[in-house]
Amino acid sequence: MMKLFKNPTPLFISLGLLLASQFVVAAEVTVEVRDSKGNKLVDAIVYIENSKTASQAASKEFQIEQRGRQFNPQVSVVQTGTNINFPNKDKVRHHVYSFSPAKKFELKLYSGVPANPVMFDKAGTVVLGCNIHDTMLAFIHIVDTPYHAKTDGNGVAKISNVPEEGYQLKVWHYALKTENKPAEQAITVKATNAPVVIQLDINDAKLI
Amino acid sequence: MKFKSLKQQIVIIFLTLVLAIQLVGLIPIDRSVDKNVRNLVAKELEVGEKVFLNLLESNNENIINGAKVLAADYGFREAIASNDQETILSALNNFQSRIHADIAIFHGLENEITTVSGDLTEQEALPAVQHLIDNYSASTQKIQFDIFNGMPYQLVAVPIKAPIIIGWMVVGFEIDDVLALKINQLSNLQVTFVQQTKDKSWISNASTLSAEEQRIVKNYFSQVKSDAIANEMDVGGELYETKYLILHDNKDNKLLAVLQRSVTAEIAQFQAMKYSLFILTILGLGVFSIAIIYVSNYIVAPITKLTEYAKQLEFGNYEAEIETDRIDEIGELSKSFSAMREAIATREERVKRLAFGDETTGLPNRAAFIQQLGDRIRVHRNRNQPLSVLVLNLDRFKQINKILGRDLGDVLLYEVAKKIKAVVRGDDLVARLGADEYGVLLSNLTEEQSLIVADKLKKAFEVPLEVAQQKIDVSAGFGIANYPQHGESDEALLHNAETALNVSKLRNSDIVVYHPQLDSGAQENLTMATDLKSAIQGHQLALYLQPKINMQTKQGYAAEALVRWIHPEKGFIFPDQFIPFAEQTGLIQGITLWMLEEACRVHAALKKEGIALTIAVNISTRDLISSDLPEKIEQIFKLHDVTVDAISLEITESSIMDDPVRAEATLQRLSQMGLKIAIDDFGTGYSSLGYLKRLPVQELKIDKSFVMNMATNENDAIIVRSTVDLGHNLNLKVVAEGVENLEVWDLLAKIGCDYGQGYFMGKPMPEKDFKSWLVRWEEQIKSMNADKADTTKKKATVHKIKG
Repeated sequence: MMKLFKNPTPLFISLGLLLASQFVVAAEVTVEVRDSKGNKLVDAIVYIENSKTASQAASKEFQIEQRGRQFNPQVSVVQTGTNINFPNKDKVRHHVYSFSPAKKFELKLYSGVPANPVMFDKAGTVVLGCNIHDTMLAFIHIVDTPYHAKTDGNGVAKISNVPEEGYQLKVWHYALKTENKPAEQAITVKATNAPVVIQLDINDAKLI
Repeated sequence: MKFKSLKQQIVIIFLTLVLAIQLVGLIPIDRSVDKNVRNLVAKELEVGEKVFLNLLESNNENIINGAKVLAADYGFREAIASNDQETILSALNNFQSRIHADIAIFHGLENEITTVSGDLTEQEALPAVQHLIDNYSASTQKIQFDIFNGMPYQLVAVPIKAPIIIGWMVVGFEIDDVLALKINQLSNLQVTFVQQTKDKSWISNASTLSAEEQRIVKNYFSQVKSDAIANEMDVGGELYETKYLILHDNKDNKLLAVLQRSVTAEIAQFQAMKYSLFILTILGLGVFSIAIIYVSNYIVAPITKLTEYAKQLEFGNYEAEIETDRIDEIGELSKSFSAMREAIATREERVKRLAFGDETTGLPNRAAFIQQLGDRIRVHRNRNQPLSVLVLNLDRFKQINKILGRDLGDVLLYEVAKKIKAVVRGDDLVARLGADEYGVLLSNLTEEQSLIVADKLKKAFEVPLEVAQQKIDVSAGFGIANYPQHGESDEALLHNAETALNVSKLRNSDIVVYHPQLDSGAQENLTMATDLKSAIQGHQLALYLQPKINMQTKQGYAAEALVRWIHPEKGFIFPDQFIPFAEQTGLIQGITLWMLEEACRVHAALKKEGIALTIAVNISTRDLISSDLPEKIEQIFKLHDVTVDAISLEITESSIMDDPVRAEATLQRLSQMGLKIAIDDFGTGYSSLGYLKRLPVQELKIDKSFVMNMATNENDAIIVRSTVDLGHNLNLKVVAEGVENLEVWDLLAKIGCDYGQGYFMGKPMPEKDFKSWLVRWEEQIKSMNADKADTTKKKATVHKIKG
């Protein structure tokens, strides 16, 4: 698990450096997510929306690999319209599928990198499974905004380069008791923002 | 408790013991059977319960695995994802028939859709489904039951994941008799599922019991509160150990599984075992009895045998041998017994020899004789055979003993024993009854035969015995008593034989057979002794004279004095009847003295009448032995003022032989007094001539037994003639007694006999008749002389003819 979280770190750092250069127009939102008992909550998806965010195009590619008969990362957040690749790093083959209404698809038994990535064009949650390996599970939360982040080991998520405007802050977690209904809060982003603390009602039994 | 026999004792004690052990064994068995059966049944019930639960669990697993297959089916999940209700239902139906389930339900989470295969509506199924989902746990799959439409079902719920849970599969099996039977086959328990319905009444849904039994079980639950359910239940007379499991319990209904195991059937099995145990016990007792009896016989039989032997010993039978080849204690005992028997026999033999034997003769003694006599009497009584007791007593044994000395006397007794034994049969018992008395027990002999034996013995005694190179004449008296006529007991027989012997002694007769009068005779003897004493003093005796005639001169020369007893009551008694008795008792001395005095008085009286008659008086043995006889005679002579020729003396051969030395001494003194002495009854004794020659006698008197028949018996005549010659050669005068006719007279006269005495000349007569006899005798002489003349003439004539 720890290993999985280390990999994206250089990406975030370079991204942060890039955003820092446009410091004048952009601000940073920090959100701390805890469960009802006050424990830091990892892998919570934090994103902000307003009327302008949905129109922004998403040109980025995303990748969820299968390694050691598990999806990596297990929890991801992407903007609507993102193409996700599912490279198989295992020697065994996998049959990745989703019955989720947000995106139904299946990649029948394959190894290596599939020919085409899958386009996630509808906001919502997609639960990924492997028809061969029942234990393989991954969540992809698809949002209509480019301003999104995932809480780290300290339960902290930071969204950078956010224009100073009013937004609706939404926090989702795959083990939410309210299932697919994220917690919401209106925020106004300023040049400097105090960290927002969000508490989620979590079904512990669903934690992976 | 006292046992009559050892065998009984062994048998009873051991059998009681065995029986007690068996009973002691049976009682706890009996007691523990019930307890054990209950324990066993309880244990079986416990095991059965586990089997039951296992079966349910494995059922559960099977259903779950089946359900999982469907839940994981990609197509099925796709149908769910696309909410394709028709496809979902057909998949459920297909699945239900494939695994023979009774119910299959899908409940989707996405849109709360519930699809039911089977006869249930969604509304009926939903509460149970919700309950199952709520209670689901992936790690522990509980066995769950629920009631649909009044029917109990075993249910499982399986999540459908894609890969998070998108819905649930619920599969159910109806609880029915098939399941109950399956459990029964595996666990051997009676199984009943009972259900409490909403209205609190109880129904039974499935069971291995009969309808009636189910009704009883059902009723039981409706009557008893569930917390008061007992472990045991009486179902139509059969007792069941009972356990129940609550399978399902909610506010509406309750489902129980009642597991039962029959105690009654189990006990019945033990009962059969108890019965066989009892039979085995009886059989065992039987076998043991036989064994015990055999063993006790083995031990007791020899003891009984030994007891028999001991009894034999008690009766004095030492013949029986004890044979044994046993080497155990009983064998040892038998051997000890045997040794004891021999030791006792040897000792008794010795004691017997001492008690019943006579050392001198080697014969049995009186005690032994009486004992044997008793034994023989018993034998002969049974066989009805006669028996004789012969007793004999040696004459003059005391004198013989004195002469020979005691040692030679013993030898003589021994020789006598030998002589008797030589005569009687080998198996006739010879015993020494007293000093000189012998007894012979003659088996199987009649009175006549016993007399023959006695006679043989008497004859045997006629041959002199040889003791230390000396020939000794021994005579004896014999008494005989016969069984049964003379007595039936040993004592009586011996006593009577001895009575007969005494009589034989008294009478000087040789053989006397007992008869009852002898007893009275013995009594008479006593009276006679008293009477005889008074007779001597009271002048009942009379002196009779029998003349002795000179055969040449035919003149009366002398007379023999003979005693007569005129008893005041019994009258005239002959000397034979009291003289032997007087000799035995010693009274003879009184008689002799009386006779001497009377003879002198008669002599004197006759002298006054001008008749000079020398009277011969008989002197007995006892007279001869008493040394004062000569003095007494002298006193008598003086008293009657007679000379020595007044009397002469006659003695018998036997009277001298009793004590020859003293007899000779007395005789010498009498002879020196001038008394003439004659030997009486010459020829009947055994005195040697050499001895006679030494005696101072002047006369021999030939016994009348020879003389009486000499006219007809040539032998007698020869004896008489030789005796006369012998007497003359010894310078002795010879007197013949028993001259009863002229013929004899003539013969005697012819052979030169000096004197004659007998009826021909004169019978014994009282003194007063003597004178008249003399006159008659003179007449007789004249006629004799006349006859003689005739005879001489005749002779002459004969001579003439011869010549």
